[in-house]
Amino acid sequence: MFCREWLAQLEQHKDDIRGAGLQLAAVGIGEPKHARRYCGRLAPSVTCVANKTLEAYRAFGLKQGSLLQLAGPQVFLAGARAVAGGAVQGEATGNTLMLGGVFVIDQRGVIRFADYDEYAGDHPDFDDILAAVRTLDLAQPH
Amino acid sequence: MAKRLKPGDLAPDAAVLDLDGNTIQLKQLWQTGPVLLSFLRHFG
Repeated sequence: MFCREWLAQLEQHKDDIRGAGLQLAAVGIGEPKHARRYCGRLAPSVTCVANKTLEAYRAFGLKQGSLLQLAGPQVFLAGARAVAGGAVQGEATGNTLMLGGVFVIDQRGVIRFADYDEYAGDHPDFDDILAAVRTLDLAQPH
Repeated sequence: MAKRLKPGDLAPDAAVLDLDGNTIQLKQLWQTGPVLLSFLRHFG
């Protein structure tokens, strides 16, 4: 549900994101067929890749959430927000215990923005991302 | 377990699968230009 909500937001803000000079990409846990079906329907503008082994997640310092991070009061509030926005929970693939994250990476491979989910459904605000990106000159070496 | 990354750190690379099932390197996603990269909790 939260991943659907986030992908829908990426699609909704794609023009602003691209206008800031960024491509859109997402990593998901599962098989390529899941990514094809899921991203193709919800976010055709996002380049999706699959990582069933969690190697990429671990490399970026992402980890499984605690019980509180996965089922605490903040998660229920986020769930209510997602449902109110039209998101629904589908059949999940992969590892539903993992927490997500959002990064801006420049062409030299340097991280310029990093946001780790503190609980399930904890998405960064697009305005914050775009405001941060606008202060960067992504074409210049860091 | 790798530590959390912060701005200024070099993004790590890893093997992932594209939609056709081909193994690619994650860094290919930003070698053509800056990217907003989201890690989803799962597909579903």
